[in-house]
Amino acid sequence: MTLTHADTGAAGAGGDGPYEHGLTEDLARAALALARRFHAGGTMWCASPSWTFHAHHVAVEFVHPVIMGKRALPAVVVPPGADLVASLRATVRPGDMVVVVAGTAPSDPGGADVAEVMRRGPAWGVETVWIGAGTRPPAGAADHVLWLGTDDPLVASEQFVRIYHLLWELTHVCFEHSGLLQPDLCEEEVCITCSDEGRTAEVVAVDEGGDAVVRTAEGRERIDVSLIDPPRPGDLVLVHAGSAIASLEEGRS
Amino acid sequence: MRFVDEYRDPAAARRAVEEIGIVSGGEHRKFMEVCGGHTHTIYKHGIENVLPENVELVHGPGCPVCVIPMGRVDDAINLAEQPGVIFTSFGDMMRVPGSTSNLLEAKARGADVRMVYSPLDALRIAQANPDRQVVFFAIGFETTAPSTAITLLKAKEAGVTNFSVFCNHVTIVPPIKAILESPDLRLDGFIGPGHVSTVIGNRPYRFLPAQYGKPLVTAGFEPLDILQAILMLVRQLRDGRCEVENQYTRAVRDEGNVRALQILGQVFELRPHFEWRGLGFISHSGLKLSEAFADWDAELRFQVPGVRVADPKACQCGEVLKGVIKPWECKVFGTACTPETPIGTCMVSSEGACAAYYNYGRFTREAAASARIPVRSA
Amino acid sequence: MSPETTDFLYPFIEGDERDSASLLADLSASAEAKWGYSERLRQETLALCHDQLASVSAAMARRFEAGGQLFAFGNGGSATDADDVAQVFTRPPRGEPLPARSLVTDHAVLTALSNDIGFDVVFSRQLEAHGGPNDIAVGLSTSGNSENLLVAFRQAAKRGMLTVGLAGYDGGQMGRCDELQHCLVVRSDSVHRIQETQAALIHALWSAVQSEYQAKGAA
Repeated sequence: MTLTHADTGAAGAGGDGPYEHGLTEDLARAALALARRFHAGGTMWCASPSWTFHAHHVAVEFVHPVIMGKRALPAVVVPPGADLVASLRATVRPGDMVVVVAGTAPSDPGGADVAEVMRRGPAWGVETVWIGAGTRPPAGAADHVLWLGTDDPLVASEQFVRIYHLLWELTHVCFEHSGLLQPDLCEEEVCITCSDEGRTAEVVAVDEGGDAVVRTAEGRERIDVSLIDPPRPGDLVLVHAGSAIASLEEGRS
Repeated sequence: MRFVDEYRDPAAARRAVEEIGIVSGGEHRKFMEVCGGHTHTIYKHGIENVLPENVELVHGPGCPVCVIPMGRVDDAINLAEQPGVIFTSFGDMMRVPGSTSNLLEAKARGADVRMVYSPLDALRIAQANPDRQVVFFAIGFETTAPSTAITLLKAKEAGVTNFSVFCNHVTIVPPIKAILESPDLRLDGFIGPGHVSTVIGNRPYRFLPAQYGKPLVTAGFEPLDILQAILMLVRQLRDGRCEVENQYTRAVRDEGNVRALQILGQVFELRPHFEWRGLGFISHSGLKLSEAFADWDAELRFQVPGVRVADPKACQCGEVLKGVIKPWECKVFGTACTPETPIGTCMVSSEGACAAYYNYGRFTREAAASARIPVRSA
Repeated sequence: MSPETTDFLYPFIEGDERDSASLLADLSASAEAKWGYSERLRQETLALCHDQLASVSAAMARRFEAGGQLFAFGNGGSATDADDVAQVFTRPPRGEPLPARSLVTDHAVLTALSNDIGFDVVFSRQLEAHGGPNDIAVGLSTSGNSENLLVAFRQAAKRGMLTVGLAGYDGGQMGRCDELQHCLVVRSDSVHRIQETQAALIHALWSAVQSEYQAKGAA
């Protein structure tokens, strides 16, 4: 099923060309995830700190399909120049998607903000897709990491267009499989109460009495934060049985 | 059916699986995941099916619901049925069988049993019902004990006298030690519990390499985290290292949560021994309220029968908890013992090895038998 | 008639599909094939346009050397390509920055012109305001038929600007437009694949202009 570089005629020699091992499998998986989120009413937020035009291109593909008969889907560009984290925090809702085209810091100066957004995905309840090239982000940086091996910014930029075009095309193929757009059948209740559960939450506000209002994928809730150093609004914490048991900010520079 | 493609960052997961295969070099490796949360992730995401055949996972005693002995459940039901009591419990405990009944049935018989998500909710119920006695059924490892401790501190501070705690908190290190002492088990290493370790840190595990020559890697709860921890374990074995390592660095500090540990020390003290289902009595493995909090100890406030009840004969939870047998090798698995009518506690909690296997395993076992699932379509 | 016999006709009404594995495999295979086609189209187009790229880039370099600037425009996805043109010329990954602007970025101008006159003039009126004889007009389209591009090329020609177009299919009306001096055509009938190769053409054009401009500057 997987073609080699020679078969696809992709640029680059040997195994380290710009066309990465497994990229199309990742694209397929990301497309199905996006289709499920759109189907459930989610909005796609598009951003690209260093290539604003890519963010606009992604959004226009989904909103105004080039192929007749395809659905217009809600996709929005995060205003360029805005504080990416603050802007998304204010607007995303659980069930949404965030698609970003960016490299990693320091080669892409916007990469640090992007990593911050992706890290917050679980607390915001959003599905994250990180399209990029060059040095790969750490494993698990986003729900979907669609990565190119090339260090050439122009080659990367051209191939980003392919990636998001394919993402759009595959997403629409998924809409033709309505049975696969339903929530997972085997999604059975996890023991949320007692054992080793820990949910990622973002602190919204801290009370004087050692309580905080936090945001999780399930909504807002009030938790106890007296077991950890006083958090600041925007910090990520791990919540277990109504208490923050760990800060996810320590050791981060 | 789930594939590695469905994990967060599937590309990274594929790389980890490939590397586990290369690094382990076909050598048979058997690792125990101590934590019930890990067991749940492993079954739910079919991790056993994407691993190379030579890497085997066995499931440990880390589900706090599964290890609670029947006698303690009987005590809880007895407390719940005392007049004027509001008995509060985490949801997972409601169906855990005592010797004759469970909490849900007690509720049906008229006891005021309420499900809570946090011990702090139980305290709020007590404050809202000053004329009632509110008892919280505290269970869980070091992850959960700090929440109970904070609740007790708040109860004391606010002078809430109609609140008490039936304490069944246990600690994770003693059963690991007990398992290592058991002669019928050969393990190459441990996947350490992630959220317990946010509290206790990585230092308490040092005895494993030092005394038993076994490596341990603390892991997070994403499927990718578990794969990375397994990779770190096979790397240690290949390189001839034997250490405590931390995969879950985004949450776990080596020293743990110092503030939480201090509060635990203030509120609790070790029991000389505590009974574990299937494992028997393990010394210094349970917590009780300290002298300073004796006024909030339900075992002192109420008459609690405290009868020891032997585990049902047919049930092999103990062997499952020690990793000696796989859930489906138990004599009653899936026949007399199902999640709807559990005999053993491993079948009750969704994190229990038997329930996890029952819910997700039948699929994966069939699939694994018919063909090894390819990691990617190549 | 059993339901399965009509499934092949109406795959989209199949609501009970639960196993995503075969769909994911199909999607992946489809992406492989499209990626391969896109890559071949890119290489073929760059080869076909080789001489044309050389002459266009030389002409562009002369305009820049004479103090001219570049204006890029297009609609929809091609508007974002116009931004790409402006970005790569003004903030190049290597070489010297050259003056270039996208005509799609000022929403006040775009909405004023559209509202007061009509969308056909959104680019031509801007060229009328800014364009001079040393300047370059680069219009991007996949169909080659966008009216506002054709109007803009006529205005640009009138002002003595160098006119460069990127189009798809057979070039459309852009391919037959007398006022358009250079039209680079991506010969495909897929909007997506055309745009993917146009992105490569933009960068190839920029790269060639850089070489021309530097060679001339050194001489």
